[in-house]
Amino acid sequence: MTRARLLDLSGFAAYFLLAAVLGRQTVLPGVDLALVWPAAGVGAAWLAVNGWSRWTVLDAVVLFVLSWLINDLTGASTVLAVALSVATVVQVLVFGFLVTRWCPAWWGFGDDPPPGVERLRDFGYLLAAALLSACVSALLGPAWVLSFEDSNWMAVGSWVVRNGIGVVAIFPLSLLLRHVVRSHDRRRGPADHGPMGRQSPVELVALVIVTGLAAWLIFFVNGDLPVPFLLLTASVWAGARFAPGIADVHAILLSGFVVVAVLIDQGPFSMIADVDARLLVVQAYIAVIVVVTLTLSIGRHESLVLSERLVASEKAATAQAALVRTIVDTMADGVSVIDTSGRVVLRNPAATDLVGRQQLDRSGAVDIDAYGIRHVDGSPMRPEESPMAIALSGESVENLELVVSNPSAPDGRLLQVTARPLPDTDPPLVVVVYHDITADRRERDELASFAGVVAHDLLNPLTIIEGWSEALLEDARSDVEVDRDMQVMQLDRIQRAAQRMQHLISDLLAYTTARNLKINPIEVDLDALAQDVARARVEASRVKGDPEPVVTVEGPLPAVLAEPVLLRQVLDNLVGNAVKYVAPGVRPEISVTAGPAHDGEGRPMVLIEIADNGIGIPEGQHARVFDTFHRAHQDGYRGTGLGLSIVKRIAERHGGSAAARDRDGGGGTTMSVTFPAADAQS
Amino acid sequence: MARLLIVEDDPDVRDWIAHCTLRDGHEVRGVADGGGLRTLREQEPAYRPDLVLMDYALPDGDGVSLLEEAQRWWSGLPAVFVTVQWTGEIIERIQGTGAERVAKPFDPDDLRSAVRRSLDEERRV
Repeated sequence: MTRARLLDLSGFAAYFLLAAVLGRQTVLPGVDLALVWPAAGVGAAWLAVNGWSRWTVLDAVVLFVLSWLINDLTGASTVLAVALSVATVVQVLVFGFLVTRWCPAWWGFGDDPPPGVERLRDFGYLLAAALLSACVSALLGPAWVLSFEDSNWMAVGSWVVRNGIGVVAIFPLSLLLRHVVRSHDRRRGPADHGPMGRQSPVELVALVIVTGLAAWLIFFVNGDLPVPFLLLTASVWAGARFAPGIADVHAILLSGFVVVAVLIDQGPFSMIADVDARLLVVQAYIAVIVVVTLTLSIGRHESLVLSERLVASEKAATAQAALVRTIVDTMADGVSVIDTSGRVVLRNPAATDLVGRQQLDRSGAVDIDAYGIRHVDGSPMRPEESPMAIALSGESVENLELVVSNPSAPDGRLLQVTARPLPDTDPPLVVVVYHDITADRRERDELASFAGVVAHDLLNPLTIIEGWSEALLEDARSDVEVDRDMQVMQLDRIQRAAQRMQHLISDLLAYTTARNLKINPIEVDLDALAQDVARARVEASRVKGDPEPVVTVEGPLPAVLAEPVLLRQVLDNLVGNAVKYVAPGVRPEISVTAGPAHDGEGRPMVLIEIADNGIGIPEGQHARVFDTFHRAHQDGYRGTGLGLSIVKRIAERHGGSAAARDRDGGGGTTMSVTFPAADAQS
Repeated sequence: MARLLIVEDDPDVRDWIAHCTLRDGHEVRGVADGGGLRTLREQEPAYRPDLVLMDYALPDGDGVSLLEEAQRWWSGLPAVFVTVQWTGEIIERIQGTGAERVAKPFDPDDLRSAVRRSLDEERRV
């Protein structure tokens, strides 16, 4: 650390020596002060590195000694050399005091130097700090003594201008150079935008040539013409078109050129006879060059930074807007944004899917009536009750359930709607979000219904079993003679109730199997399967003592592709229903037929039909008999309401379908199912 | 002794309810559903039960609606619902009638107590 600091100290000492030696070369004959004093800026940059620290004393002492040495060696009297050196140190310390308050980043930055002066406001502070510190050093330092001894107040002004401008020209360039060389986080310049855009190397070469040519013409060719102000156009060019670093170098080089011309008595300024006046005019001229150049260049830099920020913000805002739009457009929930006059500001595709195409009245406002909105209980919703209207009146609506029924949703769609006024929008806007809960609600209702039916159909037989077994038990425990027929009747009730429970549980398991069993379709001999099912049913009726059904399998039936376990379940349920649902005392007559068919996509199927002479299905219930737990006949016929929904589920899982119709030419029903034909495989 | 009417579609359950209430010496009749109740009313206009034991899930409607219908003929007819505990909505509907509710499967004593309380309440009114 100390080694690095000592190296830094040596570097700045050398830099200061160079600037001071160069400065002392600009002493005009007959005056004590040099024409320019770049060492003032070097001294400020030197102490700025460490700011206020223990090194400040060493830096100030070295600064004083070097200053005194140079002045002394370059012909200044000892008193003058000491006085100038004290003033130099005082100026740097006052400058440090001021920038610590105004631009703290410039004082004590260590290894992270700022990239020069970047804002016009900061340049104003720099100018003020440089001139104020020069004034203080002029008034409090030995220059004060000097000016009083000579009774020449112009020398005070001269000190202020040359030392102030020395700081203004050199300090920012020193910061920038140190930033370029030392900073870990080197900042790139702003991107070029707008009319002050990119400057090319060709333009820089042109600037150098034009500046050099103009200076030569003004100071050496037509030196007696009082037009040095024309050279300011080159400074304006450099400031308006180039980065502060280049512009600053341009100003310093141009100032150097003017100083050289003045030193060798060339150019318009040499016509000013009074040397003190000439000194002040030249210093003022240089000050104008430096200030104009840096003002324009720093202003340009700041504008470019702001433009770059603006462009970046615009890009980010555009990207953000596009992202938001994409998200809104791909949302499953519908979103509409509406203004107070009822006009649609935004509407995503899901909103169209859920509530239908936009319906507008003649004025272009949303026509709420046209959407067919109803309350959940089915009553129509008045336009002023709609979530949109409520939100437009300034209140929020949270998760209001309503039904939309229009050509895009003819069966009615259950929506959960949230509508809120959007805060801080001018004109006021409201956002309406539609969430489709039709499927969720149907599933929930189905589940509730399923649980209810299962509970009902298990608890009723359980009531019978529990009740009648308790009655039997009571009788058995009592001393009363019990009627044997009564006991048989009670036991029969218990047994039938247990069988009902068993059937329901079996059907529930079959229903689950029909939904979940993995289907591995193989070629099934439908003819043999149907015969087998028919035989089993006839045998079961015989065992129970019921009238034996006549089941005719009108074979040969074509083979099908199916999961054999599930196909057997289908045939058994259909034949079983045909046996069960006959009028009392009627012998069931059932025919099983099958033939080729095609599904909606033209694939070959087998249509299996089971026709019976049963009691038939009531009008209007032919489709509903396949619904879970639906029972077309509840009076006198026991059933779980699951058999046909199992049939339908299995057929659909094979890519087929199930249907019911009245039997052709007489009472009874024809049930039909389709399964893929085995022929399609060959 | 009171005249009880059982509305229950399951004959085995209906008989079991009858079996339980007969012990208290009531006169008990039963119908399967709303249709059966209306037929009874038409065929025997003079019949008026003192209390109805009502199932909720009936093949041709629900027990609460049927009770309301029956109370139009038989004003102030008290009821005891003998039913499976179903959804909250159904339980609320039953509670709305003010009738007692006995859940299946039931203890015969609970049923008889509910019948007794409902009849006593009716007599006090």
